[in-house]
Amino acid sequence: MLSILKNELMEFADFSKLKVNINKIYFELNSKNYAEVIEICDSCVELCERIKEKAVNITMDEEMANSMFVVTSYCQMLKYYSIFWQTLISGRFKDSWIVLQDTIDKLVDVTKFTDISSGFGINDFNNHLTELEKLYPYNLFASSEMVIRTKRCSICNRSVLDIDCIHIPGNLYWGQKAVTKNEDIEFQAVALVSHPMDKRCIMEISGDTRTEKEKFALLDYFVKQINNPLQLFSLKNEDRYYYNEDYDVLGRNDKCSCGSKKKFKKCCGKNKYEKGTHNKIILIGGIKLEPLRKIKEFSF
Amino acid sequence: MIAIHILCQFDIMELLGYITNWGIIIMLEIQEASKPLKLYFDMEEFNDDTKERVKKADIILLPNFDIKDGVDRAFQPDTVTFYKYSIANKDNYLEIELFENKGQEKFLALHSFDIWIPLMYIGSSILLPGAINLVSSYVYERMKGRPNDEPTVHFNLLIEDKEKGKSKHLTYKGPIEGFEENFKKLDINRLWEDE
Repeated sequence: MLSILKNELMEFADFSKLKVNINKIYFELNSKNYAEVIEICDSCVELCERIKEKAVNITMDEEMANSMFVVTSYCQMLKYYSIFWQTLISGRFKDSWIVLQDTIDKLVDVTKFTDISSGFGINDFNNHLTELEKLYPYNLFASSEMVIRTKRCSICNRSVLDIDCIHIPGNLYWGQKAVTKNEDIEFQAVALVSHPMDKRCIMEISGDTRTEKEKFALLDYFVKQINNPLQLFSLKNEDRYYYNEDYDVLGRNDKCSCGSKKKFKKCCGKNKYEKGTHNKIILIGGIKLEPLRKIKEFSF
Repeated sequence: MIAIHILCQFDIMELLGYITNWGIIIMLEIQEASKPLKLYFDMEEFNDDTKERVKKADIILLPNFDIKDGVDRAFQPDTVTFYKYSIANKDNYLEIELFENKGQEKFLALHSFDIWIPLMYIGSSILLPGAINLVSSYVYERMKGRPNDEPTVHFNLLIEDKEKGKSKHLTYKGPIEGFEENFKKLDINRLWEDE
Protein backbone atom coordinates (compact mmCIF):
# COMPACT_ATOMS: atom_id res chain seq x y z
CA MET A 1 0.00 0.00 0.00
CA LEU A 2 2.99 2.27 0.45
CA SER A 3 3.57 1.79 -3.28
CA ILE A 4 0.76 4.24 -3.89
CA LEU A 5 3.46 6.88 -3.43
CA LYS A 6 4.90 5.78 -6.77
CA ASN A 7 1.71 6.95 -8.51
CA GLU A 8 0.34 10.33 -9.47
CA LEU A 9 -3.18 10.94 -8.20
CA MET A 10 -4.64 14.07 -9.75
CA GLU A 11 -7.96 13.81 -7.91
CA PHE A 12 -6.18 14.34 -4.60
CA ALA A 13 -4.66 17.82 -4.57
CA ASP A 14 -2.59 17.13 -1.44
CA PHE A 15 -0.97 14.02 -2.87
CA SER A 16 1.83 15.78 -4.82
CA LYS A 17 2.65 17.88 -1.78
CA LEU A 18 2.83 14.71 0.30
CA LYS A 19 5.38 13.21 -2.07
CA VAL A 20 7.46 16.39 -2.08
CA ASN A 21 7.43 16.38 1.72
CA ILE A 22 8.51 12.74 1.91
CA ASN A 23 11.47 13.59 -0.32
CA LYS A 24 12.30 16.41 2.08
CA ILE A 25 12.17 13.92 4.98
CA TYR A 26 14.68 11.68 3.20
CA PHE A 27 16.98 14.63 2.57
CA GLU A 28 16.80 16.00 6.11
CA LEU A 29 17.25 12.56 7.66
CA ASN A 30 20.33 12.00 5.53
CA SER A 31 21.60 15.41 6.72
CA LYS A 32 20.84 14.49 10.37
CA ASN A 33 18.46 17.44 10.71
CA TYR A 34 16.17 15.58 13.07
CA ALA A 35 14.07 18.55 14.19
CA GLU A 36 13.22 19.30 10.54
CA VAL A 37 12.34 15.66 9.90
CA ILE A 38 9.94 15.67 12.85
CA GLU A 39 8.27 18.86 11.64
CA ILE A 40 7.84 17.63 8.06
CA CYS A 41 6.56 14.25 9.28
CA ASP A 42 3.84 16.03 11.27
CA SER A 43 2.77 17.97 8.22
CA CYS A 44 2.74 14.74 6.17
CA VAL A 45 0.42 13.15 8.73
CA GLU A 46 -1.94 16.12 8.36
CA LEU A 47 -1.87 15.76 4.56
CA CYS A 48 -2.58 12.03 4.84
CA GLU A 49 -5.55 12.77 7.09
CA ARG A 50 -6.98 15.19 4.53
CA ILE A 51 -6.52 12.72 1.68
CA LYS A 52 -8.06 9.95 3.77
CA GLU A 53 -11.04 12.10 4.68
CA LYS A 54 -11.68 12.80 1.01
CA ALA A 55 -11.28 9.11 0.13
CA VAL A 56 -13.79 8.13 2.83
CA ASN A 57 -16.38 10.88 2.34
CA ILE A 58 -16.15 11.93 -1.31
CA THR A 59 -14.48 9.41 -3.60
CA MET A 60 -15.60 6.42 -1.47
CA ASP A 61 -12.25 4.75 -2.07
CA GLU A 62 -11.45 2.32 0.77
CA GLU A 63 -8.14 1.23 -0.75
CA MET A 64 -6.97 4.84 -0.85
CA ALA A 65 -8.08 5.38 2.75
CA ASN A 66 -6.19 2.26 3.84
CA SER A 67 -3.12 3.34 1.89
CA MET A 68 -3.16 6.63 3.76
CA PHE A 69 -3.15 4.71 7.05
CA VAL A 70 0.05 3.00 5.89
CA VAL A 71 1.67 6.23 4.61
CA THR A 72 0.78 7.90 7.93
CA SER A 73 2.44 5.03 9.82
CA TYR A 74 5.50 5.34 7.56
CA CYS A 75 5.84 9.07 8.30
CA GLN A 76 5.30 8.45 12.02
CA MET A 77 7.95 5.73 11.90
CA LEU A 78 10.43 8.19 10.36
CA LYS A 79 9.43 10.77 12.98
CA TYR A 80 10.00 8.38 15.89
CA TYR A 81 13.26 7.25 14.31
CA SER A 82 14.44 10.88 14.30
CA ILE A 83 13.36 11.33 17.92
CA PHE A 84 15.24 8.12 18.66
CA TRP A 85 18.47 9.60 17.25
CA GLN A 86 17.91 12.88 19.09
CA THR A 87 17.53 10.92 22.31
CA LEU A 88 20.63 8.83 21.59
CA ILE A 89 22.79 11.84 20.84
CA SER A 90 21.72 13.55 24.05
CA GLY A 91 22.90 10.45 25.95
CA ARG A 92 19.45 9.46 27.25
CA PHE A 93 19.97 5.83 26.40
CA LYS A 94 17.28 4.41 28.67
CA ASP A 95 14.66 6.76 27.17
CA SER A 96 15.84 5.91 23.67
CA TRP A 97 14.75 2.27 24.20
CA ILE A 98 11.11 3.37 24.54
CA VAL A 99 11.33 5.54 21.42
CA LEU A 100 12.92 2.65 19.54
CA GLN A 101 9.91 0.51 20.48
CA ASP A 102 7.57 3.27 19.22
CA THR A 103 9.50 3.27 15.94
CA ILE A 104 9.23 -0.51 15.65
CA ASP A 105 5.47 -0.44 16.31
CA LYS A 106 4.94 1.99 13.45
CA LEU A 107 7.21 -0.02 11.18
CA VAL A 108 5.12 -3.14 11.90
CA ASP A 109 2.02 -1.25 10.72
CA VAL A 110 3.83 -0.36 7.50
CA THR A 111 5.42 -3.75 6.85
CA LYS A 112 2.19 -5.67 7.46
CA PHE A 113 0.56 -3.99 4.47
CA THR A 114 3.57 -3.49 2.24
CA ASP A 115 5.69 -5.76 0.13
CA ILE A 116 9.08 -5.41 1.82
CA SER A 117 10.83 -5.55 -1.54
CA SER A 118 8.88 -2.54 -2.82
CA GLY A 119 11.51 -0.05 -1.63
CA PHE A 120 11.09 2.90 0.74
CA GLY A 121 13.80 1.33 2.90
CA ILE A 122 11.29 -1.01 4.55
CA ASN A 123 13.45 -4.10 4.41
CA ASP A 124 16.52 -2.15 5.54
CA PHE A 125 14.65 -0.52 8.42
CA ASN A 126 13.33 -3.88 9.61
CA ASN A 127 16.83 -5.33 9.77
CA HIS A 128 18.33 -2.13 11.15
CA LEU A 129 15.92 -1.74 14.07
CA THR A 130 16.42 -5.40 14.99
CA GLU A 131 20.19 -4.81 15.14
CA LEU A 132 19.74 -1.59 17.13
CA GLU A 133 17.78 -3.52 19.77
CA LYS A 134 20.78 -5.80 20.22
CA LEU A 135 22.92 -2.84 21.36
CA TYR A 136 20.89 -2.59 24.57
CA PRO A 137 21.57 -4.68 27.66
CA TYR A 138 17.97 -5.89 27.80
CA ASN A 139 17.25 -9.59 27.59
CA LEU A 140 14.48 -10.03 30.13
CA PHE A 141 11.24 -8.11 30.37
CA ALA A 142 8.31 -8.03 32.77
CA SER A 143 5.05 -8.97 31.15
CA SER A 144 1.58 -9.40 32.59
CA GLU A 145 -0.83 -12.31 32.41
CA MET A 146 -4.51 -11.46 32.38
CA VAL A 147 -7.94 -12.91 31.90
CA ILE A 148 -10.19 -10.70 29.79
CA ARG A 149 -13.97 -11.00 30.02
CA THR A 150 -15.04 -8.41 27.46
CA LYS A 151 -13.43 -7.62 24.13
CA ARG A 152 -14.84 -4.83 22.00
CA CYS A 153 -14.07 -3.85 18.44
CA SER A 154 -12.41 -0.43 18.10
CA ILE A 155 -14.34 0.28 14.92
CA CYS A 156 -17.95 -0.75 15.60
CA ASN A 157 -17.73 -0.93 19.42
CA ARG A 158 -19.64 -4.22 19.39
CA SER A 159 -18.40 -7.30 21.16
CA VAL A 160 -15.77 -8.88 18.90
CA LEU A 161 -17.85 -12.07 18.98
CA ASP A 162 -21.02 -10.31 17.84
CA ILE A 163 -22.00 -11.79 14.50
CA ASP A 164 -22.51 -8.26 13.14
CA CYS A 165 -18.90 -7.29 13.86
CA ILE A 166 -17.06 -8.19 10.67
CA HIS A 167 -13.77 -6.59 11.68
CA ILE A 168 -10.74 -8.80 12.16
CA PRO A 169 -8.28 -7.37 14.69
CA GLY A 170 -5.21 -6.04 12.91
CA ASN A 171 -6.90 -5.51 9.56
CA LEU A 172 -7.67 -2.16 7.92
CA TYR A 173 -11.16 -0.81 7.31
CA TRP A 174 -11.63 2.59 5.65
CA GLY A 175 -8.27 3.81 6.86
CA GLN A 176 -8.58 2.53 10.41
CA LYS A 177 -6.89 -0.45 11.99
CA ALA A 178 -9.26 -2.71 13.90
CA VAL A 179 -7.97 -3.36 17.38
CA THR A 180 -9.52 -5.06 20.36
CA LYS A 181 -10.50 -2.97 23.35
CA ASN A 182 -10.21 -5.13 26.43
CA GLU A 183 -12.60 -4.52 29.34
CA ASP A 184 -13.25 -6.25 32.64
CA ILE A 185 -9.66 -7.39 33.00
CA GLU A 186 -8.45 -9.62 35.79
CA PHE A 187 -4.69 -9.48 36.34
CA GLN A 188 -3.17 -12.84 37.15
CA ALA A 189 0.58 -12.49 37.33
CA VAL A 190 3.66 -10.75 36.08
CA ALA A 191 6.23 -12.97 34.44
CA LEU A 192 9.80 -12.46 33.32
CA VAL A 193 10.12 -13.32 29.64
CA SER A 194 12.63 -12.84 26.87
CA HIS A 195 10.07 -12.39 24.09
CA PRO A 196 7.20 -10.28 25.47
CA MET A 197 4.23 -8.68 23.76
CA ASP A 198 5.64 -5.31 24.73
CA LYS A 199 9.33 -4.71 25.40
CA ARG A 200 8.82 -1.43 27.19
CA CYS A 201 8.69 -2.94 30.68
CA ILE A 202 12.40 -3.42 31.28
CA MET A 203 14.22 -4.86 34.31
CA GLU A 204 16.76 -2.84 36.27
CA ILE A 205 19.01 -3.82 39.13
CA SER A 206 18.15 -1.82 42.25
CA GLY A 207 21.05 0.14 43.69
CA ASP A 208 22.94 0.11 40.43
CA THR A 209 25.02 3.29 40.65
CA ARG A 210 26.57 3.08 37.20
CA THR A 211 26.08 6.03 34.86
CA GLU A 212 24.00 5.67 31.69
CA LYS A 213 27.20 5.54 29.66
CA GLU A 214 28.46 2.67 31.76
CA LYS A 215 25.17 0.78 31.66
CA PHE A 216 24.86 1.23 27.92
CA ALA A 217 28.55 1.00 27.04
CA LEU A 218 27.99 -0.69 23.69
CA LEU A 219 25.33 1.80 22.65
CA ASP A 220 27.55 4.69 23.75
CA TYR A 221 30.39 3.31 21.66
CA PHE A 222 28.04 2.88 18.70
CA VAL A 223 26.77 6.48 18.83
CA LYS A 224 30.29 7.88 19.07
CA GLN A 225 31.59 5.79 16.20
CA ILE A 226 28.58 5.70 13.89
CA ASN A 227 26.72 8.95 14.10
CA ASN A 228 24.74 8.22 10.95
CA PRO A 229 21.03 7.28 11.05
CA LEU A 230 21.15 5.57 7.67
CA GLN A 231 24.23 3.43 8.31
CA LEU A 232 23.33 -0.26 8.34
CA PHE A 233 25.33 -2.60 10.52
CA SER A 234 25.33 -6.09 11.89
CA LEU A 235 26.24 -6.93 15.47
CA LYS A 236 28.19 -10.15 15.91
CA ASN A 237 29.10 -11.70 19.23
CA GLU A 238 32.19 -13.84 19.43
CA ASP A 239 34.08 -15.52 22.26
CA ARG A 240 37.39 -13.96 23.08
CA TYR A 241 39.93 -14.62 25.83
CA TYR A 242 40.88 -11.70 28.07
CA TYR A 243 44.01 -11.54 30.24
CA ASN A 244 43.08 -11.41 33.91
CA GLU A 245 45.58 -9.27 35.83
CA ASP A 246 44.26 -10.56 39.17
CA TYR A 247 46.32 -13.70 38.63
CA ASP A 248 49.57 -11.72 38.60
CA VAL A 249 49.68 -11.52 42.42
CA LEU A 250 50.44 -15.24 42.68
CA GLY A 251 53.74 -16.92 41.91
CA ARG A 252 53.76 -20.01 39.72
CA ASN A 253 54.53 -22.31 42.64
CA ASP A 254 52.18 -20.65 45.15
CA LYS A 255 49.06 -22.46 46.26
CA CYS A 256 46.20 -21.56 44.04
CA SER A 257 43.80 -19.01 45.50
CA CYS A 258 40.79 -21.00 44.36
CA GLY A 259 41.23 -23.39 47.31
CA SER A 260 42.13 -26.47 45.30
CA LYS A 261 45.45 -26.90 47.27
CA LYS A 262 47.20 -27.35 43.94
CA LYS A 263 50.06 -25.16 42.76
CA PHE A 264 48.87 -22.10 40.91
CA LYS A 265 50.74 -23.15 37.75
CA LYS A 266 48.90 -26.48 37.74
CA CYS A 267 45.50 -25.01 38.52
CA CYS A 268 43.98 -21.65 37.53
CA GLY A 269 47.40 -20.35 36.43
CA LYS A 270 47.43 -22.78 33.52
CA ASN A 271 45.51 -20.21 31.62
CA LYS A 272 45.55 -16.61 32.73
CA TYR A 273 43.02 -15.74 30.10
CA GLU A 274 39.28 -15.80 30.71
CA LYS A 275 36.57 -16.24 28.16
CA GLY A 276 34.37 -13.23 27.51
CA THR A 277 32.01 -11.95 24.83
CA HIS A 278 33.40 -9.61 22.25
CA ASN A 279 30.93 -7.49 20.28
CA LYS A 280 31.78 -6.71 16.72
CA ILE A 281 29.94 -4.04 14.74
CA ILE A 282 30.18 -4.78 11.04
CA LEU A 283 29.15 -2.00 8.67
CA ILE A 284 27.07 -3.24 5.77
CA GLY A 285 26.05 -0.25 3.63
CA GLY A 286 23.30 2.27 4.02
CA ILE A 287 19.50 2.43 4.10
CA LYS A 288 18.39 3.24 0.57
CA LEU A 289 15.74 5.94 0.43
CA GLU A 290 15.14 6.59 -3.24
CA PRO A 291 13.50 10.01 -3.84
CA LEU A 292 9.93 9.78 -5.13
CA ARG A 293 9.65 11.04 -8.67
CA LYS A 294 6.83 12.45 -10.71
CA ILE A 295 5.49 10.13 -13.39
CA LYS A 296 6.16 12.65 -16.15
CA GLU A 297 9.88 12.50 -15.40
CA PHE A 298 9.85 8.99 -16.80
CA SER A 299 8.13 9.95 -20.09
CA PHE A 300 10.08 10.49 -23.31
CA MET B 1 8.92 -38.66 25.97
CA ILE B 2 9.10 -36.20 23.08
CA ALA B 3 11.53 -38.29 21.11
CA ILE B 4 9.45 -41.43 21.61
CA HIS B 5 6.37 -39.77 20.26
CA ILE B 6 8.14 -38.38 17.25
CA LEU B 7 9.87 -41.66 16.57
CA CYS B 8 6.49 -43.33 16.39
CA GLN B 9 5.80 -41.24 13.33
CA PHE B 10 9.17 -40.59 11.72
CA ASP B 11 12.52 -42.28 11.48
CA ILE B 12 15.66 -41.13 13.28
CA MET B 13 17.09 -39.24 10.30
CA GLU B 14 13.97 -37.13 10.09
CA LEU B 15 14.18 -36.44 13.79
CA LEU B 16 17.71 -35.06 13.42
CA GLY B 17 16.39 -32.70 10.78
CA TYR B 18 14.16 -31.10 13.33
CA ILE B 19 16.93 -29.55 15.35
CA THR B 20 16.44 -25.88 14.71
CA ASN B 21 18.72 -22.87 14.79
CA TRP B 22 17.74 -22.39 18.42
CA GLY B 23 18.99 -25.83 19.29
CA ILE B 24 15.60 -27.21 20.28
CA ILE B 25 13.73 -30.08 18.78
CA ILE B 26 10.46 -29.20 17.14
CA MET B 27 7.74 -30.84 19.13
CA LEU B 28 4.88 -32.73 17.66
CA GLU B 29 3.55 -34.98 20.33
CA ILE B 30 0.75 -37.46 19.82
CA GLN B 31 -1.13 -38.95 22.74
CA GLU B 32 -4.19 -41.07 23.26
CA ALA B 33 -7.29 -39.17 24.26
CA SER B 34 -10.57 -40.42 25.60
CA LYS B 35 -13.70 -39.04 23.88
CA PRO B 36 -12.62 -35.47 24.47
CA LEU B 37 -15.76 -33.74 23.21
CA LYS B 38 -18.04 -35.92 25.33
CA LEU B 39 -16.30 -34.53 28.41
CA TYR B 40 -17.39 -31.05 27.38
CA PHE B 41 -20.90 -32.18 26.49
CA ASP B 42 -21.26 -33.80 29.91
CA MET B 43 -20.41 -30.59 31.71
CA GLU B 44 -23.29 -28.72 33.29
CA GLU B 45 -21.44 -25.41 32.85
CA PHE B 46 -22.45 -25.37 29.20
CA ASN B 47 -26.11 -24.80 28.39
CA ASP B 48 -28.21 -26.67 25.83
CA ASP B 49 -28.03 -23.83 23.29
CA THR B 50 -24.25 -24.05 23.28
CA LYS B 51 -24.26 -27.84 22.93
CA GLU B 52 -26.79 -27.69 20.10
CA ARG B 53 -24.89 -24.94 18.26
CA VAL B 54 -21.53 -26.71 18.23
CA LYS B 55 -23.00 -29.99 16.96
CA LYS B 56 -23.18 -28.55 13.43
CA ALA B 57 -19.58 -27.27 13.40
CA ASP B 58 -16.63 -28.91 11.62
CA ILE B 59 -14.12 -27.27 13.92
CA ILE B 60 -14.89 -26.56 17.56
CA LEU B 61 -12.70 -24.23 19.58
CA LEU B 62 -12.62 -25.29 23.21
CA PRO B 63 -11.77 -23.36 26.35
CA ASN B 64 -8.98 -24.66 28.55
CA PHE B 65 -9.85 -25.64 32.11
CA ASP B 66 -8.02 -25.10 35.40
CA ILE B 67 -5.43 -22.81 33.95
CA LYS B 68 -5.46 -20.11 36.58
CA ASP B 69 -6.54 -19.74 40.18
CA GLY B 70 -10.02 -18.29 40.32
CA VAL B 71 -10.67 -18.78 36.61
CA ASP B 72 -12.46 -22.00 35.77
CA ARG B 73 -12.04 -21.84 32.00
CA ALA B 74 -10.74 -19.49 29.33
CA PHE B 75 -9.77 -19.49 25.69
CA GLN B 76 -6.20 -19.13 24.45
CA PRO B 77 -4.98 -15.61 23.52
CA ASP B 78 -5.30 -15.91 19.73
CA THR B 79 -8.85 -17.27 19.84
CA VAL B 80 -10.80 -14.17 18.78
CA THR B 81 -8.55 -13.27 15.85
CA PHE B 82 -8.30 -16.88 14.73
CA TYR B 83 -12.06 -17.38 14.96
CA LYS B 84 -12.83 -14.22 13.00
CA TYR B 85 -10.11 -14.97 10.46
CA SER B 86 -11.62 -18.44 9.95
CA ILE B 87 -15.11 -17.06 9.42
CA ALA B 88 -13.85 -14.41 6.98
CA ASN B 89 -12.01 -17.06 4.96
CA LYS B 90 -15.11 -19.06 4.13
CA ASP B 91 -13.39 -20.62 1.13
CA ASN B 92 -12.14 -23.30 3.48
CA TYR B 93 -15.75 -24.55 3.80
CA LEU B 94 -15.21 -25.36 7.43
CA GLU B 95 -17.84 -24.28 9.93
CA ILE B 96 -16.24 -23.13 13.13
CA GLU B 97 -17.79 -22.54 16.57
CA LEU B 98 -16.70 -21.64 20.09
CA PHE B 99 -17.74 -24.14 22.76
CA GLU B 100 -18.94 -21.55 25.23
CA ASN B 101 -22.20 -20.03 26.38
CA LYS B 102 -22.90 -16.75 24.60
CA GLY B 103 -21.68 -13.83 26.69
CA GLN B 104 -19.60 -15.97 29.04
CA GLU B 105 -16.44 -16.13 26.93
CA LYS B 106 -13.20 -15.39 28.75
CA PHE B 107 -9.82 -15.02 27.12
CA LEU B 108 -6.28 -15.35 28.35
CA ALA B 109 -3.73 -12.65 27.66
CA LEU B 110 -0.36 -14.26 28.14
CA HIS B 111 2.95 -12.58 28.58
CA SER B 112 4.90 -13.63 25.53
CA PHE B 113 4.66 -12.70 21.89
CA ASP B 114 4.08 -16.36 21.00
CA ILE B 115 1.18 -17.58 18.91
CA TRP B 116 -1.41 -19.36 21.05
CA ILE B 117 -3.91 -21.14 18.81
CA PRO B 118 -7.11 -22.15 20.63
CA LEU B 119 -7.61 -25.75 21.68
CA MET B 120 -9.26 -27.27 18.63
CA TYR B 121 -11.50 -30.31 18.13
CA ILE B 122 -12.30 -32.04 14.85
CA GLY B 123 -14.61 -35.03 14.62
CA SER B 124 -12.93 -36.73 11.67
CA SER B 125 -9.42 -37.13 10.32
CA ILE B 126 -10.73 -36.04 6.89
CA LEU B 127 -10.91 -32.54 8.35
CA LEU B 128 -7.28 -32.59 9.47
CA PRO B 129 -5.66 -31.17 6.28
CA GLY B 130 -8.22 -28.35 6.16
CA ALA B 131 -7.71 -27.52 9.83
CA ILE B 132 -3.91 -27.51 9.48
CA ASN B 133 -4.11 -25.31 6.36
CA LEU B 134 -6.31 -22.90 8.26
CA VAL B 135 -3.89 -22.67 11.17
CA SER B 136 -0.91 -22.32 8.80
CA SER B 137 -2.49 -19.49 6.85
CA TYR B 138 -3.52 -17.78 10.09
CA VAL B 139 0.05 -17.99 11.41
CA TYR B 140 1.35 -16.58 8.12
CA GLU B 141 -1.14 -13.70 8.36
CA ARG B 142 -0.29 -13.08 12.00
CA MET B 143 3.40 -12.76 11.20
CA LYS B 144 2.94 -10.19 8.44
CA GLY B 145 4.83 -7.07 9.40
CA ARG B 146 7.28 -8.92 11.64
CA PRO B 147 9.81 -10.54 9.29
CA ASN B 148 12.50 -10.83 11.97
CA ASP B 149 10.39 -12.19 14.82
CA GLU B 150 10.64 -15.83 15.78
CA PRO B 151 7.70 -16.70 18.02
CA THR B 152 6.79 -20.17 19.18
CA VAL B 153 3.53 -21.66 17.93
CA HIS B 154 1.44 -23.41 20.59
CA PHE B 155 -1.23 -25.65 19.14
CA ASN B 156 -3.35 -28.43 20.64
CA LEU B 157 -5.66 -30.47 18.47
CA LEU B 158 -8.13 -33.12 19.56
CA ILE B 159 -9.13 -35.46 16.78
CA GLU B 160 -11.73 -38.19 17.00
CA ASP B 161 -12.56 -41.10 14.74
CA LYS B 162 -16.07 -41.96 15.77
CA GLU B 163 -16.23 -45.14 13.66
CA LYS B 164 -13.13 -46.52 15.27
CA GLY B 165 -14.09 -45.08 18.64
CA LYS B 166 -10.62 -43.59 19.05
CA SER B 167 -9.29 -40.13 19.83
CA LYS B 168 -5.88 -38.50 19.70
CA HIS B 169 -4.41 -35.38 21.20
CA LEU B 170 -1.82 -33.72 18.97
CA THR B 171 0.39 -31.07 20.52
CA TYR B 172 2.72 -28.80 18.58
CA LYS B 173 5.06 -26.40 20.29
CA GLY B 174 7.81 -25.03 18.11
CA PRO B 175 8.87 -22.47 15.55
CA ILE B 176 6.66 -21.36 12.67
CA GLU B 177 8.80 -22.85 9.94
CA GLY B 178 8.36 -26.38 11.28
CA PHE B 179 4.61 -26.28 11.78
CA GLU B 180 3.23 -27.17 8.36
CA GLU B 181 6.16 -29.43 7.59
CA ASN B 182 5.52 -31.55 10.68
CA PHE B 183 1.84 -31.96 10.06
CA LYS B 184 2.38 -32.73 6.37
CA LYS B 185 4.55 -35.67 7.37
CA LEU B 186 1.82 -37.00 9.57
CA ASP B 187 0.29 -40.10 8.00
CA ILE B 188 -3.43 -39.83 8.76
CA ASN B 189 -4.01 -43.50 8.02
CA ARG B 190 -1.29 -44.57 10.41
CA LEU B 191 -2.61 -42.26 13.09
CA TRP B 192 -5.18 -44.83 14.11
CA GLU B 193 -2.99 -47.90 13.87
CA ASP B 194 -2.70 -49.86 17.09
CA GLU B 195 0.47 -48.99 18.94
